[in-house]
Amino acid sequence: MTERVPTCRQVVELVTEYLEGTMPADEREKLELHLTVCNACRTYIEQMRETIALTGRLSEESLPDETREALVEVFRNWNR
Amino acid sequence: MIAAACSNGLEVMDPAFSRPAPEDDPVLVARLRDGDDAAFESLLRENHGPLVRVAAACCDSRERAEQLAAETWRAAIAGLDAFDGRTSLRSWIFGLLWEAAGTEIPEDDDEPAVDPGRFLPPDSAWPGHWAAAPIPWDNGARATPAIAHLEAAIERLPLGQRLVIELRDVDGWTPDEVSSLLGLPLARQASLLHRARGAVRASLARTLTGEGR
Repeated sequence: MTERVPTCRQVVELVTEYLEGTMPADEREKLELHLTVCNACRTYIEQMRETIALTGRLSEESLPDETREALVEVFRNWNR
Repeated sequence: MIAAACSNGLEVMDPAFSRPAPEDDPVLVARLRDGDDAAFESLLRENHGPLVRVAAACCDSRERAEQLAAETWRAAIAGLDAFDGRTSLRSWIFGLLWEAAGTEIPEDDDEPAVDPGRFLPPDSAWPGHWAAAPIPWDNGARATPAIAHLEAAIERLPLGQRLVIELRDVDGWTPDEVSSLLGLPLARQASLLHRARGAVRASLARTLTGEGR
């Protein structure tokens, strides 16, 4: 990372590090300085947050009753 | 974790949110070894879905994925007495599946998360800045069709990206847990996650606003 404030292209490549909280403090400061003047990058980062939030809410695979019953039976038999 | 309000007023989760394996593993393992059906069913309900999801990424059919998951549960039951607690119970179970699947994550190109063509070239007045800014989303991102599209977008990802984003962002595993399971250095896992998220965001943007078409 250069000493200057990052460009939009650099911000995009740093977004995961930024959102994961693993970016060094000085680099984070420069990136956030960029965000104060760049509406496009703020939009991108918010969309990335939204994507991650939606991904976290994807529906669970169902546990079919037949599968559950069969495996519970295996468990019971193991313990006898 | 901290909920942050985004510009359209909707609350989104802090992306650093994770759901690491429960700390009460010793209690659960003791209950399982005592033959506690309820404990086993609870373990099954919590983990069967994510297990099938990982299996589906490794197998060429849904049927085979379900078979692999069921075989994994049988192996876990049979091996319960030998479980030594050095990893979490969850990691151990998934490790059984991963070993049985025999899958290797191929090396892939380290492509940028966003097409470089979206940015102004080096010889422009503003090199590296957006040539065309991302188009804002309305509340449509939370609509059911968009979420269904998200699932499809994840399934289209290359194997490594798919596994990492599913374990990290769908199932909430920590970076260390994912790296340990898949045998990936943390830096490579972070790179896979970065490109997976970028691809999924781009796919969603195309659906919602036509961006990138």
